[in-house]
Amino acid sequence: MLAGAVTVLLLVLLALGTPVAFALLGAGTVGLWLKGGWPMMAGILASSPASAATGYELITIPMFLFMAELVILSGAAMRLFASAATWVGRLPGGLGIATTLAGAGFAAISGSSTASAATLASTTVPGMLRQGYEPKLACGVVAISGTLAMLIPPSIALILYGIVADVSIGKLLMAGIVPGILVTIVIALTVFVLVTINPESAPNARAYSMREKLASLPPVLPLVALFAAVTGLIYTGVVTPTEASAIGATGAFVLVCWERKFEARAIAAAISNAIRSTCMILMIILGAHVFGYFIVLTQVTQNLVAWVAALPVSPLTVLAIILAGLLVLGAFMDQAAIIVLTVPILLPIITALGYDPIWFGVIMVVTAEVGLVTPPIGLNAFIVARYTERPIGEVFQGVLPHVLAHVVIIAILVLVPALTLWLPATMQR
Amino acid sequence: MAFAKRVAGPLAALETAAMAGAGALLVVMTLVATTDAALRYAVNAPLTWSYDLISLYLLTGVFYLGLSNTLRVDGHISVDILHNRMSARMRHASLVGGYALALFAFAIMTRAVAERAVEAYSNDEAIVGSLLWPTWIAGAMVTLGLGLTGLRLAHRTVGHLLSALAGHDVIALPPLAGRNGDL
Repeated sequence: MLAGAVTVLLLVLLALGTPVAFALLGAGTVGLWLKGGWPMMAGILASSPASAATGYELITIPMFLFMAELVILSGAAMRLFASAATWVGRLPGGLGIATTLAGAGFAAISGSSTASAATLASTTVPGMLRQGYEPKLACGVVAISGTLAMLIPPSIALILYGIVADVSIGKLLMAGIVPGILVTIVIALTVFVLVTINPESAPNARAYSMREKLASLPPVLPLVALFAAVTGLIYTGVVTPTEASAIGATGAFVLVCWERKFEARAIAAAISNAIRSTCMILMIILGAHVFGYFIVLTQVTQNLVAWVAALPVSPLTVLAIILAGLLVLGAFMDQAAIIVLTVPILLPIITALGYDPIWFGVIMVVTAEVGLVTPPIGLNAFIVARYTERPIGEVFQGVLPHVLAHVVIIAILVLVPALTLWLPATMQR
Repeated sequence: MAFAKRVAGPLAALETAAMAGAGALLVVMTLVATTDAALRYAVNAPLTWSYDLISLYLLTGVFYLGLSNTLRVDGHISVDILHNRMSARMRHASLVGGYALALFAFAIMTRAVAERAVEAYSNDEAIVGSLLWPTWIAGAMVTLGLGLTGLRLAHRTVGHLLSALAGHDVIALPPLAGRNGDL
C-alpha cells in the first residue's frame, strides 16, 4: 500500500516535470519518512552522498563521455560519413545506408546516443537533402542510427547496467558487439527496402572510382585505431574497462590535436559537456539509491519475485511482458532512469527465470533504443528535429519502419541468446 | 521578485568556479588513470596511489562540484510530456513541489555531510593507503557541491512559486525536449 502510494507520488512528480533524479530523491525521502520516521530517513540521506555515487568503476562514465565529446570535436563523424558514402552511395538509399554505417562507426568511439544523433543530424542530413532525399526518410535513419551508440561499445547504457546489476562491464561491452552489428544491418536493410519500394524517396548518388574509394579510407584510420585501442584492449583482457576508458579519452585528445582542432574554448566546452552528462547520470544513481532503500524496506522486490515465480506461465511469456513494459516505459521515461530504477527489481526475476544477466542487459538496451525514437518523448527524435529544423511529427513518421524492424530484431535476440553471449564467452578474462 | 535576481548572479558565479574546479579534476583524473595504466602494463610499475586519489577525491569532486551547474543549465533530464500542453503559469506551478521536496532532502544531506567533514578535520581522520588521505577534503567538496545545489534548488523553488503567483517569468522555465544529457 505504502509502496504503491509513494510510487504514485514519484509518477506525479515526473509528470509535473521534476527532473528524474530529483523526483526519485524526493519521493524516496517521503517514502523513508513514512516507513521508518525521521531517524531512518535522516540516517539514509546522511550516508547516501558518500555511498551512492562513488566507486572506482564509475570513472568509466566521465571518461567515455569525455572521449565522445573530444571525438565530436575532431570532426570524425563527417569523415566517417564521407568514406561510407563513397563506398555505398550508389546503392538504393545509399546515403541513408552510409548514415547507418557512419552511426555504427561513431558508436564505436562514442557511448552517448544523443551526442551521436546530434552529430549525425548536423553532418549527414544536409547531404541527403541536397541529394533529394525525402526529409522523413533522412531524419528517420539519423534518429535510429544514433541509438547504435547505446549498444556498440563503449556504451554508457551498458556500463550503467553493469554497475547497477553488478556484472562484468567488460563482458557486457563485448556482448553488445554482435547485436550492434545485427541492428546496423537491419537499419541498412530497412532503408534499402523502403527505397526499393519508393525509389523517388532517395535518388541515387554519383558513382565513385575504386581510386576514390581507397582514398577515402586513410582519414578514418585514426578512428579505427582508437576503436581498437579501447574495445580491443578490453576484449583481450589487457586492460580493464576503467583503464580503457581513460586511454580512450587520452587517445581522443591526441586525435583532436592530430586533426589540428585543438582550441582552448572548444576543449573547455567538451569538458563541461562531459561533466554535465556525468552529473546527470550520477545524480540519477543517487536519487535511485534513496528510492531503492525505500523499495527494499517495503520488500516489494521479494514479493514481486515470489509472485512471478508462482505464475502459471512460461518464462518466455514473463520475459515478453517485461519487455513490453520496458517498451512502454521507454516511451515516457529517460533510459538512465529506467535502468537504475528497474534493474534492481527486474534482475532477480530474470535470474530466477534462468536467464543470463549479461544477455538481459543487452536485450534491455536494445529495447530502450526504441524508446529513444518513439513518441511522446523519444529524445533522439527531438534532437534530430531540432538540429535539422524539421517538424517532430515528420521525424517520428520517418522512424516508424525502423521501430517495427527493431521489434523483429529484439525477438531474434531473445530467441537466440548465443548471438549475444558468444563473444563474451571467448574473452580471456 | 528582486530576490531571485539578486541571488542568481553570485550563485551562478560560485557555480562557474565550482565547475572550473570539476573540469580541472576531470583532466587530472584522465591523466592519472592513463599514466597508471601505461606504467602498469609497460614497465609493471603502476602508480600505487592512483586508485585512492581517483575514487576518494577526483571522481567525488567531478560529480559534486559540477552538480549545481548542471541544474543551472537544465542538464538534468526530465519528462516534459505534460509541459508541452501547459500554460507558462501552470508550468511554473507544477515545478514547485518537486524542487521543494528535493531541497528538503539536500538540506538534510548537506548538514550531515558538513558535520561529518568538520568532525573528520577536527580529529585528523585519514584513510591509510600507500599515502595518508585526509577524509575532510572529500567531505568539503561534497558539502560545497550539495550546498550549492541546495541553494540552486531553493532559487528554483522560490522563483517558480513567485512566477506562478505573479503570472510572468521571475525565473526562466526549462526548455522543452531535446536538452542536454541522456545515454
